[in-house]
Amino acid sequence: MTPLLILAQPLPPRALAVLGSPHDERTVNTPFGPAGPFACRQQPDGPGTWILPYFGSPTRTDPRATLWAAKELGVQRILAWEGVVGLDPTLQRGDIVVPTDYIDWTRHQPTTFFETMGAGYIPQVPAFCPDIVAVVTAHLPTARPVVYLGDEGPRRETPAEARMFQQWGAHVRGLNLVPEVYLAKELELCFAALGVVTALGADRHETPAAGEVREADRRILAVLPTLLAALPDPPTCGCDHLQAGPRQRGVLPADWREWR
Amino acid sequence: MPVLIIGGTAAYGLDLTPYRPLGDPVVLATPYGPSPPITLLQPDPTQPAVAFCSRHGSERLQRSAAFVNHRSLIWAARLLEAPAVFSWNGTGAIAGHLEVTDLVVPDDFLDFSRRRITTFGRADLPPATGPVFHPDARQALLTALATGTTRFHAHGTYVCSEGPRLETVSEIALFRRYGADLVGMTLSPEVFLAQELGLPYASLCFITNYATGCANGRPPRRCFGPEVAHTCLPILLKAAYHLLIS
Repeated sequence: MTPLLILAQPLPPRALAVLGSPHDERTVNTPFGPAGPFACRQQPDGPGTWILPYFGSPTRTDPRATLWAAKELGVQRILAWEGVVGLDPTLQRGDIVVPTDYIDWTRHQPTTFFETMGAGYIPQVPAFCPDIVAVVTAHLPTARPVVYLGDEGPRRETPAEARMFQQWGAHVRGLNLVPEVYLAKELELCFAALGVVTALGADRHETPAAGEVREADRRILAVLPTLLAALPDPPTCGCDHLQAGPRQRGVLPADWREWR
Repeated sequence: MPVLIIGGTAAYGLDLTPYRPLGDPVVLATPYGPSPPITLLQPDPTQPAVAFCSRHGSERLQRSAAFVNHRSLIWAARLLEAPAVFSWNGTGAIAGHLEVTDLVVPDDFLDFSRRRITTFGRADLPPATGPVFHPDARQALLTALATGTTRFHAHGTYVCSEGPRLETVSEIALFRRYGADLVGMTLSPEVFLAQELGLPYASLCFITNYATGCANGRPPRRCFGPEVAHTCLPILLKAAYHLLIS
C-alpha cells in the first residue's frame, strides 16, 4: 500500500531523497479539476511514497480534486506535513505537533462530495486516522497532541482571532487540513497530519528565528521512511469502511466514482 | 389559507395516508426555482387543511441541509398565503437534561452555518425584527404539546452547524460554552427567511441522538426512523389548529 505524503511546508531541495528516488510522476484529472503532479519516490525494496507538494491558499487546488486523485492512484493513507501557527502559549517555534481534533473555521471551502445526494453524515470521532496518529506518535514521541483550528486564510490571523481560537480550545492554527480531513473520510481514506510550529500566534511575541524549524524538519525526515513503513497493513482503524452503512442501505452506489 | 408544515428527519418516504391527503402534491413556481412538492392534509374534517412538504426530498433523503433550496421553500409559504410555518428538525442533544426522543421548542439561536444564503435580499422587504422564533407560533406549539404525552422542553438554544459531516468534540464543546442546548443543520436560513417575509415560524426539535462527546456515560442512542415523523407531524397539526383559533 503506497501512502501519500502531502507537503504543506517547504523543504530544502533533496530533503526527500530519504524516501528514495523519483520513478513516476502523474497529474490526475478529476471531476473537480486536475490534481498533481504527484511524484512517486521509492527505495529499491520499498512500497514507495506518493508525494504532493501542496502549498495551500491562495493557489489551493480544490481539496476534492486532491483526494479524488489520491483515491484514483490507489492510495489509502494520507499524511499531511504542515507548518502551523502556535496559538497555545506553551508552544514554541520548532515544536512538532499531531492534531487529534479540529475546529472548522473555513468559509469558502467545499464541505462535501455529496452536494446532490443525501449523504455525508459522518461522525468525526476520531477526527484524524488513529492508525496514522499512533505511528506518528510512536516515531516522534515528543510530538504533542493538539486541537487544530482550520482557518480560511490566506491572510494571517489577527491577535484578537488568535485569542478567540485559544478560548475555543485550539492549540494551533493552519490552512491545509480542513476540510481535507473530513472530505477524506467521505472517500473512506485515512488522513492524519504532523505539524511543525513555524510561527507564533499573532497575539504572541515572536523571537528571531534560530533554525528551530529546520531542526524539526531534520528530526522528521530522519524517521519518515521508517514511520511510513510502519503503517499497519491491513489498516486497523476502520477509515476504509466508513461508508459501509450508506453503501448497504443503497444510499451510495458500489463504485466510489459515482459518489458525488 | 393553510399553515405550512415542513417535515425534517424521516419526512422523506413518509406514508401520508393516515393524515388524509387532499389530492396530489403540487409544485409551486417561485422566483428561486420550483418549491418541493406540497400536499394538503386534512386528517380531521372539522378542522382546516394544512399544507405539508418534506425538506430533504420526497421518496428518500435526497439533499442534506446545506443543499436544500430554502428560499423556494419559504417563498412557497408566501404563495400559499400561509398564516404561519411550523417545522420539525432532528437534533443532537448538547445539554445534559435532554434525552433521545425528547422534544424541544427552541427559543434562541446560534448560527454556525457558513455557506448559506441567509436572506432574500429584496429591497421591498423590511428588515426582520423581533424574536427569531415567533412567540405566537411557539405558544400554539406549546399548547399542542401540553395536551400530549411526549416529554418536551419549552426552552432551548439551537445551534446550526454546516454539515453534512457531524461535529467534532472541540466544536461541540465550543457551542456548549456559548450556550447551545441542541445542535442541528437545518434551521438556518429557513427561520430567518420566514422572519423576513413576516411569517410566524416555530420549530419542534426531536432529539435524535447525543451530540459528539455529550453522551456522558449514557449508552449511545440514535433515533432517525419513521417514529420521528409520526411523533412530530400530529403535534404540528394540532399546533396549526391552535394557532388558527387563538
